[in-house]
Amino acid sequence: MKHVALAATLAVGGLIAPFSAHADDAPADGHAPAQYLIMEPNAEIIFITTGGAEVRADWTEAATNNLRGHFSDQISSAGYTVTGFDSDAQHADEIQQLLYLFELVSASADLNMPHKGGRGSNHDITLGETASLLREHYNADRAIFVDHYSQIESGGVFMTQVLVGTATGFTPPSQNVRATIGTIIDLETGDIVERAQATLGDARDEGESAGIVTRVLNNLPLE
Amino acid sequence: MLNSLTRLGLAAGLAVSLAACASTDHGVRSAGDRPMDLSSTEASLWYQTDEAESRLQASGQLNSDPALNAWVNARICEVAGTFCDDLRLYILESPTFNASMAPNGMAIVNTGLLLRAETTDELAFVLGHEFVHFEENHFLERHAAMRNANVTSTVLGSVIGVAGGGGLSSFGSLLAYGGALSFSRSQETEADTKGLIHATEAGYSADAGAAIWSNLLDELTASDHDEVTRRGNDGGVFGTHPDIDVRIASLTAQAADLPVHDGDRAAYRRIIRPFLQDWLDMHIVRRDHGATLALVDRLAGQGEDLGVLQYARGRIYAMRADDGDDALALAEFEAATRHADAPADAWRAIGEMRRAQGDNPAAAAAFQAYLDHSPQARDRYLIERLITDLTGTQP
Repeated sequence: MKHVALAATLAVGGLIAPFSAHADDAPADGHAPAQYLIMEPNAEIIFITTGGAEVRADWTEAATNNLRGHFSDQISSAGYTVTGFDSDAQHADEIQQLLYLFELVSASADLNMPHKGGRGSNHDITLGETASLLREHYNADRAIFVDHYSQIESGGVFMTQVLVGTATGFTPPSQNVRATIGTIIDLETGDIVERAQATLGDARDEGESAGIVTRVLNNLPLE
Repeated sequence: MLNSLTRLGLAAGLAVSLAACASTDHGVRSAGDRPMDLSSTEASLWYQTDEAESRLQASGQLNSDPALNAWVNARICEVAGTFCDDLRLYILESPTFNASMAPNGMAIVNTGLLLRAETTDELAFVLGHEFVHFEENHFLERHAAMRNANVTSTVLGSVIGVAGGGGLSSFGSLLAYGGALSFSRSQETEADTKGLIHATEAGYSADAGAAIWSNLLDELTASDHDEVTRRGNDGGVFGTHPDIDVRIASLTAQAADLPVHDGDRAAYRRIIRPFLQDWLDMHIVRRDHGATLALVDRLAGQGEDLGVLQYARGRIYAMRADDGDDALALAEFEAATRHADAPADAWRAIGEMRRAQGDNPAAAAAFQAYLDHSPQARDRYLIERLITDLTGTQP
């Protein structure tokens, strides 16, 4: 389901207009900057070979660490207080269920629903007031959830595509995919405040990961 | 020139693809093993099963009864020996006959297995079977075999297609995947053979392996659904498991040279008795009446828990609703109430059937008996109103 949502996001990525505020907008109205809770990135990197596709544990771990670190660094650099979600801690069942609920919310939020007004019309889907459990546990106003999905082809797959193209005149399309989505959740109401996505970029690489995060935050209004 | 390029490309593709083929022999694991190379396929499988396990831990389908979990876990440790600490048991409330042990140590035992086993020996055999899959890295080896089949299928399909074979290219896939499935069947046979040895070394009877498969085959044969009936012996060249009658024959032959003793059915039934009705309910609502009747009849053959089992049989007849089933259901419900372990719901069912027949006094008496046996019934108010309507008096 996550992959479907990310793929759908990719397909219409070019249509998204930039949002009005940016990470480097310092809070100018005098109120205290929001405390942001950086959730553990939900990343998955698939390696596609001629023998099939498999999750790469090392790449997934690298991407998770890079994205977590860069979201934290860039948001705190913009003047906001940042707290990291402790994924090693034994949280209450309700919080664990909340994390699974977010996966559904995230997968559903970008579904194109023509009868409800098209893409984005489903952003009123909410985590509900149980999101306040995170607010109480981490003393944060908002949470940033991060989804990342990549498919990376092997050299063998590339060679096969070249081979098929040479032999038949039809070159199979590339299966490489890169997508990162950031979602800000209001921890009082559980509502989606904003979502933004960035395509391209290799989250395994520390430098490219920083660029991915910058591009996501460019379209996420922090306050 | 193009032909030369094509041949060169095919040769290069073949070389790349063959290089991508993985070994299907991953040997036997040692206690405490975990993948050190995070770029490996093994690490990938661990990562995925770790994810699955964390979701399973949050699932509402887990049986959390401490005594049952401790008892089943102790049986796992008996067959797994030094690997005991590597395995984490989850009892899944599922009516299907299944168990598994994933590469990361996540061991799942379905309540459908616990319900169908007649003795601890039978359970130990299945746990031994699953432990062999774990110990021998079968999951990883099967993954490699399927990966190799993908590569072979691609290469053979391309070669045949480019060579002008066209429609024949699918034969390459049949050959490749047929090989992978044959590999899977050989793993199952190995797990049966070595699993039985693990179970007997732990002190369990060697005839338990053939016994549990025989019972399952009877149940599948009695199913109302053709696809379930075929499941027992539809191995063939595209089956992932050998035919059950082949497994029974093989295990029976193996047991001739191993210690055999009578299993203690009563002792095993005592372990599962607190859950018997709930687990049967899960079967009944699947509406495979033939298979469920076969299961209930077999459980009743032991001569215990007849209140629960006859009530279950009555529900099956009532749901099946063939000609004459109403009478059969009523007879089973009434027979159930003559046993001390009859569920209160048996009287409620009698009340509903008598009411449908227009026998108001008998219906009211049955409903009153239901309330007497279940004073805290959630539908008490409704039943009291029914009794009032049926008799014109307050209960």
